[in-house]
Amino acid sequence: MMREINHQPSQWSDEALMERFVQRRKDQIFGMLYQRHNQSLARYLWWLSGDREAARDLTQDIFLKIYQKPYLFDPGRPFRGWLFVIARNAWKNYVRKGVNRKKVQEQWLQIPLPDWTIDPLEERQEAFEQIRMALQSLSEKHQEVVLLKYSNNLSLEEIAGVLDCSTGTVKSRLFYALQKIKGLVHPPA
Amino acid sequence: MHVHDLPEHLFDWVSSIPYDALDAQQKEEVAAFLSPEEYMSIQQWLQTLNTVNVEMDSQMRALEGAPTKVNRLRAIWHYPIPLYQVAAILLLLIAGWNLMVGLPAADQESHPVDPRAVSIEQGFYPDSLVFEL
Repeated sequence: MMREINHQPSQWSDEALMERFVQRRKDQIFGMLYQRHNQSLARYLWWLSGDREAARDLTQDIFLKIYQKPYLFDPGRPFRGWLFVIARNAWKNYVRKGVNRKKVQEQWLQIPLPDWTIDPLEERQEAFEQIRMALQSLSEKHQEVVLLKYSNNLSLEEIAGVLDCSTGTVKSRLFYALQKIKGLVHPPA
Repeated sequence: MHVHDLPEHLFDWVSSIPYDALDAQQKEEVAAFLSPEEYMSIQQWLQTLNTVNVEMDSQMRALEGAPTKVNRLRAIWHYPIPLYQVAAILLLLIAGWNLMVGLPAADQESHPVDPRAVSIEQGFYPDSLVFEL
């Protein structure tokens, strides 16, 4: 029996939607999960890969796999954390297939960034460079916590689940990353 | 305070609450973690990250109509082929097959050499074959 049977499906939690999808296999239910997380997941993969199209293809692959094998979801775990675990593994497989870290760093330079031509303020351009430089200066594990926390709004507990470590370790990595970032950015005027 | 013991909300405040909007108690809590300048620097950096994220989302949405890897494979599989093209290919294959099957096999024994034959190259022409024109 669904826990949230009295509400509209759009108000259900991710876990309830997934549970229902496993039972009924309705595309409409899966579509809601896709709508909720597609963008966030694609952005995460874009930051990791520096390649927009690869991020989009990986995101599609991930959702296709979930669509085909939804029974792999453990209803006792948060859906979002599970989704990012899959994304992280997909990214690692992608890297194993030949995209090395150096190439990723090069691709980062090509990340299309805010259309500065609309608002061509040099200050904003500089600010963006600060973001890129700061992220690139971090190790992979520190980048991950910063992106999961501040680009994808995952809680520390969810991040710990994704990275398979303790919440204390996540705090420590995040704190270290912020300490490093603050040394790289200029204080606001 | 050990880093592991930092409360989670400190990491949330730095991304969402401007330093000046923190009350005295919150500022005191932050002080164990960051100086006001550090707090503001990090917040500015996180705000810019957020701006970039919004733009990335918008650019990703612009890609939605473009074919994905999965869609490209599906498109190949479901590519519509007109019936007349299928019929033409079939006819071509059948004609080719008939041509292959209908060709006579090279038969070495169809032109046996008569051991009594006279080699013309040697200039020996049988009289019966010489005509006076």
